[in-house]
Parts: sequence; C-alpha cells; structure tokens
Amino acid sequence: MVNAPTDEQLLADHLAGDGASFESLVRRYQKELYQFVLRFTNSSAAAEDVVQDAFLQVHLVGATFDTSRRFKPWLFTIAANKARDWLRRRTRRQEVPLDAKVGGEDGGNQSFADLLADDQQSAGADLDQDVSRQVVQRVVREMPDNLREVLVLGYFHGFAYKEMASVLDVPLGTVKSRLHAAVASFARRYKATAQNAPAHEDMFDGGL
Amino acid sequence: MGKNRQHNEETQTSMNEKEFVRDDALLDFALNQCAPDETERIARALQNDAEMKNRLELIKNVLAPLDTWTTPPPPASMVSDILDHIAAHQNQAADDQATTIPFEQSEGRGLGGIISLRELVALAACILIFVGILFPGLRLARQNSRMRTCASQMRALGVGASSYAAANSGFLPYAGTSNGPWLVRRGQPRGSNRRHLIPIFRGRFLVNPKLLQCPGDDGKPTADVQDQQEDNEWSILRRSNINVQFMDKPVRITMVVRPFVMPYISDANPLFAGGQFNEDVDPATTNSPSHGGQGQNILHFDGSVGWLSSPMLNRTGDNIWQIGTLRRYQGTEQPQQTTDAFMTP
Repeated sequence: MVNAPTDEQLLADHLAGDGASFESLVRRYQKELYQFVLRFTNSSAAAEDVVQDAFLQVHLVGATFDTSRRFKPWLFTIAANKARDWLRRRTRRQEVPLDAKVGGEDGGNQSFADLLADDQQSAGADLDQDVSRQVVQRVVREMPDNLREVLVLGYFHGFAYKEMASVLDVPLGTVKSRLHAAVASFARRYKATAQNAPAHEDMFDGGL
Repeated sequence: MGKNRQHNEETQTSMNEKEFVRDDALLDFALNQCAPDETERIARALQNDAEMKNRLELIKNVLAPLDTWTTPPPPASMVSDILDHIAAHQNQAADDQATTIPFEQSEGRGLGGIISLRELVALAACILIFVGILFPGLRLARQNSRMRTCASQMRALGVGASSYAAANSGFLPYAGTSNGPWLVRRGQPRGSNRRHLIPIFRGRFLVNPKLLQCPGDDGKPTADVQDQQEDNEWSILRRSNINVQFMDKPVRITMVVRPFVMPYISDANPLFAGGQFNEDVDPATTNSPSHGGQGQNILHFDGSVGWLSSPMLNRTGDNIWQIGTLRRYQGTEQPQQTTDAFMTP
C-alpha cells in the first residue's frame, strides 16, 4: 500500500516543477476551504473568489513557505485573511472584546455555566430540521467576525486550539477563551431566536 | 478494612476528578479539544458522576443545532476555476513582463526590483525637468559661492601683506630679482612674478598656502596646495592660480598711486593660463578662467577687494592683462608707466 504524499511533499514537488502536485493540493482542500469561507462569509460568491485567490497566493508565494510547519493551517490562514478582507470591504462590523460577558449588551452577566443552568430544555428542540438550519445560519452570520471564525474552524473543521492559534495568529489562551465565548454566544442567540421562530420552513429568505 | 480503604481512595479520586472537570473542561471535551490524557480523565469521571453526565448532555444539546448547518459542496468546476484563475494570472504577469524593463535596485532598498517602462519614462521626464530647472540655478549658486570664497581669500592675503608691510617699514613683500623673466620657462618657477608673495609665508604672516589658489577654477584641485605645506615654496607657487601686479623693485604701501587704487593681486591672467603665453586669447574681451569667464576678483593695494566683470579698470579703462596695448610677450617686458596695471603670472 502506497501512502498518499503529504501536503508539504506535494508543495515541495510543485515548487520543484511538478505541475500535477499543485492540482492535487487544490483537489485535496478545495471543498473544505470553500465550506470554511462559505460559513465565514455567508456568501457562495465570496467563497469561490476567496478560495481562488487563496490558492493563487499559495502558487505565488509557495517558495516562502516554511516546510517545517504544516501546510493546512497556512492555507487556512491565507483564506481567513482574504475572507476577512472581503468582509471588511463589504461592511464594518463591530467586534466583541474577548473579556466581554457572554451575553453581550443584552445578556447581562450571564456566564456559560449560568446559561446551561437555565437551559434544562434545549431551546428549539422541536424545530424542523430545515428551520433549525436557517436559525443557526442566521445566528452564526450575526456573530462578531472573531467569534464566528473560531467557531467555524473549531467546530465545523475540527481544528485544534494550537492550529487555530496559528491560523488566527493569536495566543493559545485567546483562542480557547474565544471559542468558549463563541459557543456561549451562539447558545444564547440561538435560544432567543428559536423561541420566537415559527416552526415552518419559510422563516428566512435565501439560504446557502 | 482493606475494602473500605480502597473504597475511600476511589471516592477521593472521583472527588478530585469532579473538582477538576468544570464546565470549560466539559465544553472542550464536547468539542474534542482535550488532550488525550485529559480526555481519558474526564471519561473516567463521567462514569461515576451522573450530574456531570447531565451537564455534558446539556452542552451537547447546545451544540446540536450546529450540526444542522450543512453546507453545499463547491461548484463542480471549482478545481478547474482555480487552475484557470492561476493560469490567467500567469498570462497577465507574462504580458506585464513583456512591457517592463528589469531594473536592479540598489542593495537593501527593497523596492521590488522592477519598474515598468511607463514608470521609467515618467521618472526620466521628471529628472530632466528637475535638471532643467535646478541645474542652472545650482551652477549659478556654486559660482557665486566660489566667487565669495575667492574674494575672502584675497582679503586674507591683503591682511597678510599689510602685516608684512607693517613689519618691514611699509614695504610690501618683494622677492627681489635682477631682470629675471616673470614668465616661467622650462618648468623653472623662479621666473614667476608670483614669487613676490613668498615672503608673506616665509615670514609666517600667512600660514595657509591654500589662499594662493582660487577655488573657482574647476580645473585645479585646491586640496593640492593644502597638502603641500611641507613642500618647498616654489612648489606652492606652481600650484597657485592667482597673479600679482608686476614688480621689479620694492614697493611701499605709501607709494600707492591715487586717485585710483592699483590692483595688487587678481585671478589668473588668461593670456598666461597654463603657465605659457596664449596668443589666441583676446585680452580685451577675455576674463580670467577662474570663474567660468564671468569676471575676476581684484585685491587692491589698499586692501579692498572688488569684482571686475571685464578686464578693464573702471576708473582708467586700463586692461589689467596687458602691458599697454602689447599683444605678444616673451616674459621680459615691463610696464612703462606706474599707472599701467599688469597682472603678471
């Protein structure tokens, strides 16, 4: 059995002149990268553009990549930066400081533990699957960028804290507290939104 | 006894693990963010703690809606779109390179290394405009600066000569000669009329030989004179580009003819530029070469310094480059009148 070449090996082969290696890298990560950017920007058009630009960036500056590091976090770093640029161009959204209370301005001093304490029944548990998806989509979309990107990376793409710290270029402890804050923020907003949501599929326009 | 002890130890362990496993740790556990040993410890604690299990379920319920958020796959053409995007960029880069000229930047500047043809043309145009505007002004400013420096040096020579006269019964420096030629021949500087300045330095009334060289003459480095302080006095003379009023006998400062004041020292006489007689030079219209042909500085016998924009003295109309109206010189000619100024090399 022949093991598949590592990302780093593919990049090295590409830099050595093997054109097929770069295409292999694209095929390996295009889906995951597209879904990451799609969840982060909530725009399929942006996701296509950002992913194309991210791979172009890798193609252009691949020679500067430190081969002692892992390729995947580097690729996601590039994509995250470009996605952030796209969001910044589109609109300016106020970010929540890390030491802010979970509930934000309207959440009082509620902590994650407090949130769980009065959440004996999962809000929205009786929602239709598709309606739930739309509520989730809306709630995540309305989260601050810094919380949304760490939630997408940590929950949907299974990045470890260390990898997220590398992608986001922030300390490990910051990533950890940011992911906890993101989950708590999601829980509170989802609960508030789901409680007022009609249990039918046409609650929101559009969708992914 | 032994069983009770074992039970107590297990209870204690369970209590410690329960204390350790807080909501943050449970959240990390639910998010698969725990290290392997921590995962194992929490899993062990969950086996003995129903309340902890309940809290973990609550956390999972909070996270559960996220699982409903599925995203569609990328477009089927995504890979080809990416590769096409890169190929298009490469083609564009190739087109750009065809219209750019590599331009090596100086080391450490970090400006990217290339400049487009259009930028290069614009840069050249800017440089030309700047040169066109600034260069004449800079040249004029440099000439003026050298003219002022030259005048200042002549004043210093005047002070030195005056000091010499004060120490020598009113006589100006005089090297003494017996009908010797005043034009240097065959590399023998002893024939130069400039030898009359040597006593000033010999007597240490002036110590800087650089004063004997006008800075306005681009063709002569002034540093040479400065560096030759240890050289002999004739070497200093050879490097000088100022001329001295003809002297064939000692001249007292009180003998200065009035009402006009004779020139004592001037910039180089163009008739003898280069140390030899230049018969092609028109003395009526040619200024000293020391200031680009614009004019010459004159140190008068009274110590004043003036600028002449022509070789003619303002008061008398006498040409300071000539003896009378003589056009050819051997180096032995002499002025016949005391009012005939002749700036002799």
